[in-house]
Amino acid sequence: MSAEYTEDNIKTLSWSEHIRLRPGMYIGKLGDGNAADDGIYILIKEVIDNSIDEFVMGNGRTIDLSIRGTEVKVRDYGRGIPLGKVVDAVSKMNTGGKYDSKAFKKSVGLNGVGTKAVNALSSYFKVESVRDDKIKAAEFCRGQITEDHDIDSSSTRKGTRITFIPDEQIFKNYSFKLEYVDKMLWNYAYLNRGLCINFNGERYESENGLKDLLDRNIDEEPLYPIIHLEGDDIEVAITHTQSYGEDYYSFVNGQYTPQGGTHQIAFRETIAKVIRDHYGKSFEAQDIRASITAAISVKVMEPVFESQTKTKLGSQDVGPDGPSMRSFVNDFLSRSLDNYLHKNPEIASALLRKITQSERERKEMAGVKKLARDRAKKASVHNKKLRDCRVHLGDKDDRIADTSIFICEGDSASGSITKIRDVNTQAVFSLKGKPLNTYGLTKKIVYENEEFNLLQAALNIEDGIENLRYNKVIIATDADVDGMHIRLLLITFFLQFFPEIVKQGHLFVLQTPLFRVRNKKETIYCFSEEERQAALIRVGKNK
Amino acid sequence: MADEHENIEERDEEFSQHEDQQEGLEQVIHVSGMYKEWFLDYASYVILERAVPHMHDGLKPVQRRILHSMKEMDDGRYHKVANIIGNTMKYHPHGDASIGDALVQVGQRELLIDCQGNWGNILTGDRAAAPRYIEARLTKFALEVLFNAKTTNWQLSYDGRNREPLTLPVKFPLLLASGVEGIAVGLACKLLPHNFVELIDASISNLKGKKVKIYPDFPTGGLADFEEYNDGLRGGRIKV
Repeated sequence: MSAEYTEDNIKTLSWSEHIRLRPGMYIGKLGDGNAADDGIYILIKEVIDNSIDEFVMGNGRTIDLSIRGTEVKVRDYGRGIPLGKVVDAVSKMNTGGKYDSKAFKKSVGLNGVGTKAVNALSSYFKVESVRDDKIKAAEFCRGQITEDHDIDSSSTRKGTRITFIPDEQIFKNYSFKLEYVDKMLWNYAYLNRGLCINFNGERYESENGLKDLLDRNIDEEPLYPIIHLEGDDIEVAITHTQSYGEDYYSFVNGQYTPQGGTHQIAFRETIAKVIRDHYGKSFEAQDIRASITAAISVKVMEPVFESQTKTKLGSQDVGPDGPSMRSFVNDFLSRSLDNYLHKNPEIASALLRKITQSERERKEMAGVKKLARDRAKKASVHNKKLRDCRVHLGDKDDRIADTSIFICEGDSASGSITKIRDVNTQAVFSLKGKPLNTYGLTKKIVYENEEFNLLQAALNIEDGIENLRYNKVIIATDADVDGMHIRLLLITFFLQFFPEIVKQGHLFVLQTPLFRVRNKKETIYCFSEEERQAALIRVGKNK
Repeated sequence: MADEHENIEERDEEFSQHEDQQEGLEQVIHVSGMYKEWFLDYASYVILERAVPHMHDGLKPVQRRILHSMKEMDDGRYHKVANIIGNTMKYHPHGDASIGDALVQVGQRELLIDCQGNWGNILTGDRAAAPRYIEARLTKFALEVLFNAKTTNWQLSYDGRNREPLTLPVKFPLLLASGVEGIAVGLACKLLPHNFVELIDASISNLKGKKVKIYPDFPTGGLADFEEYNDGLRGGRIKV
């Protein structure tokens, strides 16, 4: 029976109902706090963004943040929301001070949606604003106002305080993970020099901005001191490291854009061009960008993002009447980077060395590659180490998220997994003995070593991770010390040559239980000796 | 801006009060932490349980287990090596090939094990015949010197079904006689073999309270330059 479609079906939701019904539109995915882009972090971000906007306009150097269990408090010392509009500002959709570009220039908060989304998705929400020794407060529950305090006099400093508890009905079993909050706050600190964030008693502030960011995020020694350049509305930091792959951190108006966007694309294109022009040689762009680690931050008037979660910039231009993003980045880099390299000949020569090294390596590899490709051709027809599955990541199938490959130790182990696997989505690759330790080796080894070559062919990542054939690459080694060692060697292999696989979360480690404790009724799998003891007591000690 | 600077300390009370608490936030162990843990586990296992001999009896665990299981099987007659390997597996949870290789290596010293069949050739480097063809038993010397149930400390084997010795109560500087090479993680050891007769003489002198000096000797023969020997301590070097 088909449902009837009449006037009654057409509904207009109130603002809070809509946010609660379709939270994805406002804060991305929900999640329970186990991923950096889970909704609860976006909530914090939305609130802090407003405080940051205050800071950017020169109001309030300090932001206090505290998280106690599920309760989040954010206090800034900015101008405070104009008292008469406090309730509107947090509970009336499409209300904000940032439509008017005068009060807030180049801000992130712009849709007039963020705080309202936080309000609607919180089981408790309180806003307090202090201005001219007067305070105005209001409390809400799931977007409905519960208490509207009158304006009172107050002796505290001006600013805004927002307290909220994310709603359990929307975010099931969530908890805040320190590491994600930590990372988020550091990003704020790097991008807003002079800003000091206090989080549960810890201070986050940065003196050198993006330079500090790179310093913190690079584990190994950079090949030359970080190049740190600043201009009007743009800041970049660049260096090269020993590892493979390109690494970018891009920001717009203080907003981290993990998925990049126009500014990152412009940067990638431009940097190759500028460096090429500087040395006056026709390097390949891929050689220039190999092993680069860079951060770029731009400020844009009225930025266009691809969604409310603002993870990818879509603006083609820097401002309504500004130049295009591309020429903006290009002008800046070709001027300042070129100058910088002229002024610092040691860095310029270090960079040149790196580029020629990448070039040499690539050419060296081209020779080996051909040989290996012939071998791989055979391998792809019949990869003897691989028991393939039917569905792959690139296919059109609704099971592609489940596609996985188990890398296991020896044929004995791969046999068992082959036997119990789901032939449609689970492939098995068996190593023989311990793989080579690849730490510090060049990518050539991937072609010379048969095992790695076959593994690369099985994953199909020779020309980049886009063609990865499985969503999950699972290291399934034995649960003994040798298994641990192989696990380490494999992680090293991936980190060394294919860091994207690890960074984009494709790599997993299979943890098998060590003990099975059972009686006639139940079976308990245990992962440690303590669990085993506990399980023994539970099932009764009748051996 | 100026008053901002002065006022930094004067924040809302509730934020400055509890500055030390982080409760409510889960600390997550990162992969790098796990990485460290796994590597430590592996490294310490290799050092303690695989590559480096114990100072008391000069044996690596696999060798000790072989000798223990041979003693267990000992009835005066030759046993097929494949059987010895099988029996040793009760104590040594690894592959048969690694046990076999270790057994052949001990046998080639011709000190503790009485060999029968083609055990390979240390001069030409030929390998021994397959375990199913060759036989072995403990020598009289080994029976005399290595074992004494009363002075042995025992531990349970890996599956808790059997007992194995912690170390063997050796009455002879076995470590010096056999010589060992072991490469572990972050640590490697190399001990050169010594002449059996010289060792006995030196042991007797030592028991009499005399100071002795002893230099390595090789079962394959050859010349060595002991100028920088440093009495066998760390950092000593010789040229062969």
